[in-house]
Amino acid sequence: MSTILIGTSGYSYTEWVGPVYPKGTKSEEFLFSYAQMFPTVELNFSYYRMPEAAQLALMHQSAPSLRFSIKAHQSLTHVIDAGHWREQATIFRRALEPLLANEVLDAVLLQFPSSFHYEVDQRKYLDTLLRVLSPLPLAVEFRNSRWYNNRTLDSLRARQVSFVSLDLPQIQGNPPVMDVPTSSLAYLRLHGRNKETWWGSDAASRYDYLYSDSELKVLLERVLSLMVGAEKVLVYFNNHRRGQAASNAKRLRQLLDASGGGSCMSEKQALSIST
Amino acid sequence: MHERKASIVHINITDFAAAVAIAKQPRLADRPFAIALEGSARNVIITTSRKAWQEGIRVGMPVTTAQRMLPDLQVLPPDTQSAAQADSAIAMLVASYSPDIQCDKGGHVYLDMKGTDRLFGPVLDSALRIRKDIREHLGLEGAVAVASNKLVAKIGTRAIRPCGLAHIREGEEASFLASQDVSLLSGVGPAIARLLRVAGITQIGQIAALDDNQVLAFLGRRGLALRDAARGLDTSPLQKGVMDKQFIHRKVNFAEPILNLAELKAGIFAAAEDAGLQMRREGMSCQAVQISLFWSDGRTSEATKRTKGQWIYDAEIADALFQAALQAMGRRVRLLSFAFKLFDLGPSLRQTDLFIPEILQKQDSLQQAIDEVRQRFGPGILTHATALCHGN
Repeated sequence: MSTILIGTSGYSYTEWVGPVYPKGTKSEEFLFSYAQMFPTVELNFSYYRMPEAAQLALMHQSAPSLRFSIKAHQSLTHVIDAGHWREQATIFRRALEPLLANEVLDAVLLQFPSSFHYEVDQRKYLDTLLRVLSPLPLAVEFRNSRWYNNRTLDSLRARQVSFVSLDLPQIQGNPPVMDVPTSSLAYLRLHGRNKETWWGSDAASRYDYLYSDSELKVLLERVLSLMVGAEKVLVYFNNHRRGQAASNAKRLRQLLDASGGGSCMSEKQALSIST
Repeated sequence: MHERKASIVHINITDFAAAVAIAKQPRLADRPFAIALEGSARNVIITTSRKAWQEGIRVGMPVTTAQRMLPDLQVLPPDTQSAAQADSAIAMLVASYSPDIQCDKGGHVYLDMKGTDRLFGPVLDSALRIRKDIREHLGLEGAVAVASNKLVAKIGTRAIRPCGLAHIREGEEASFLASQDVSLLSGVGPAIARLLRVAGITQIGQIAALDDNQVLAFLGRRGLALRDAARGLDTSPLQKGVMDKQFIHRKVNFAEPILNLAELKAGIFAAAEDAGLQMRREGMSCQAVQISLFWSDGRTSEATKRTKGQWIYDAEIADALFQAALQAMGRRVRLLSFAFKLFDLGPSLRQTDLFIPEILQKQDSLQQAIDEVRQRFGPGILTHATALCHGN
C-alpha cells in the first residue's frame, strides 16, 4: 500500500508563532511543536548552511516521530565549483548519517535553478552527482523546462531517482506541469500560484499564497495519481508566508482523509488526524 | 507575464492491449506477460506488459526467444473484443466532458475543452478528473497531456508514458519539444530516424532550427512539414466521433445481372478507389473489409477480410475486397449487386513514413499523385485498367 506524507518546506519561521505554533513558542521548540501536527518536514536550512551530523541528530531526538527530507546544499546545485563539489558532497552525505541510521530520511532534494541548462556539461555533472550520492533516496527538481523531456525521465527511471513534480504559477518562464513517477518515491512541491510576485520580488512575497479549497481538491487528485507508480508520496507546501503552508497542508490532509485516501497514510499521520 | 491557455487533452493508455488484459484480470498486474498472435507464420510479441518490458521483452521479438529469456512469461492471445469494448467505454466516458472528441482505437482519445471552463473549471483540472474517471471506472491508467494542439499533446503523452500528467502552455510548444527525442515526432519512421541519426540530429529542436533550404536539401519537399511539426505547429482539427463505429460504405448495382468474374472485379476496383479516396482524405486507414453479394435468387452471401496491419492504398483495399468476394462466391447464380464496407478505421499510421526520402516511397507517392488528380478533375478521371470493364 502506498503512503502519502504531507508537510511543509521548512518549519522555522518566527511569523508562524501565532498562526501555526502556540503563542510563546520559542524557536528551539518549533520542531517539537511541528511534529505534533505533521509526520514529515522538508529541511531547507541545509541549502544555505552545510548541515552537521550533530545538528541533525539533535533534530531527530527532539522530534523522534518526524520523518525528514533534506534539501541539498547550494554548493551541489547552484554554486558548483568544479574543483570542490565532490568534497562538499562527502561532507553533506556524512551529515545525514544520524537520519539514515534511525531510518527517518525519506529523500534528499536536489533543486536546480533555471540557469542549470540541459547541456552536455550539466548532464554529465548531474550523472556524476547522482552516482556520488547513490544510494541515498534522491529527488531532483528542475526549474529549466528543457529538462522536462523523455530522456531525462528515462534516465531518472534507470537510476531510480525521483522526478520532482511542481505546482507553480502557470506563467512563462516556469516549467510545465509534469507529474511522472520515476521511482518508488514520488515528490510534490507546492510553491503557490502568486503570479504577480513570482518574478522580481523577494522570496517572502513570491511564496505568499493560500490555496483555495477547490485548488486543493484538484491537487489531491494529482497526489492520488502519483500513488499509481510510487510506494511513497511526499507532499510539501512551500507557500510559507504567514503560516499558509501549514494551513494548506492540514486542509489537504483532511481532504485526503475524507476521500478515503486516509487509509493510504502512515499510521503516524492517521493518528495525528484523530487527535 | 500572463497566463496562456491550451485546450486539447490527449489521453494515451500505453500498451493498451496489456492494460485491458490487466483491467480484466487484475492478477496479471504482478506478472510478466505478453500478447502474441497464435498460429501466425512468424509468432512474434505484439504487446508486452510493463513487467515483461522491464525484463527485456520487446514488441516484435519472436515468442520462442521471449520465452527462452523469461521462462515465466505468460503469452496471451489478442482479445480484440475486450479492447474494442474498452475503447467504446472510454469514448462514452469522455463524451460527458466535451462534445468535441476524437476517439482513436487503441486507447487514444483527444478532447477539445475550449469553452468548458465555466462548466468544469481549468482544462488541467478537467484532464485530471477524466483520468480519475478512467482509472476508477475502467481500471485503466494512462498518460494525459494538455496542449494547444493535437501534435504537441500527443508528444506530451509519449514523453511521459507509461503514466503521468503534462501541461504544455500555449506559446511554449517549441520550447517543450526542443529537447524531446526525435523519435517522439510523428513523421519520423525508422528510415528517417536513421537519416537523422547520421546527421547527428537527436532532438526535435535540431529539426526545428533548420531553415527552408536546409530542410529541402536534407529531407526533400516533405521535410518542410516535418520541420513545422518540430516547431509545434499543427492546425489539424479533431476527427470527431468514435472511429470504431465508423465505416465507409459503397454499393454497386449492375445494369444487368452478371455471371462474369471480371465484371465483378472491375466493379470492386472502381468502388474501392472511390472509398479509398474518401478514407485517405480523412487521414485514415482500415483493418477490415466486408463484402456482401446479392444474388438474383434473392439470397445474400458475405465474407470479411482482416489485416494485422492496415490498408491504405487502393490496390490493397481492392485486393482485400476481391479476395473476400471470392470467398463469398461459389454459386452459379447471377449477381445483381454487391456492397462493401471498410471498417475498423484508425489514423493512417503510414503517415509516419511520409518523410522517408521519396525514392523509398514510390507506392505512397503514386497514390498521392492519383488522389490529387482525382480531387482536382473528378474521381473517374484516373482509374485502374481493371475497373474499365465495369465502366463499359
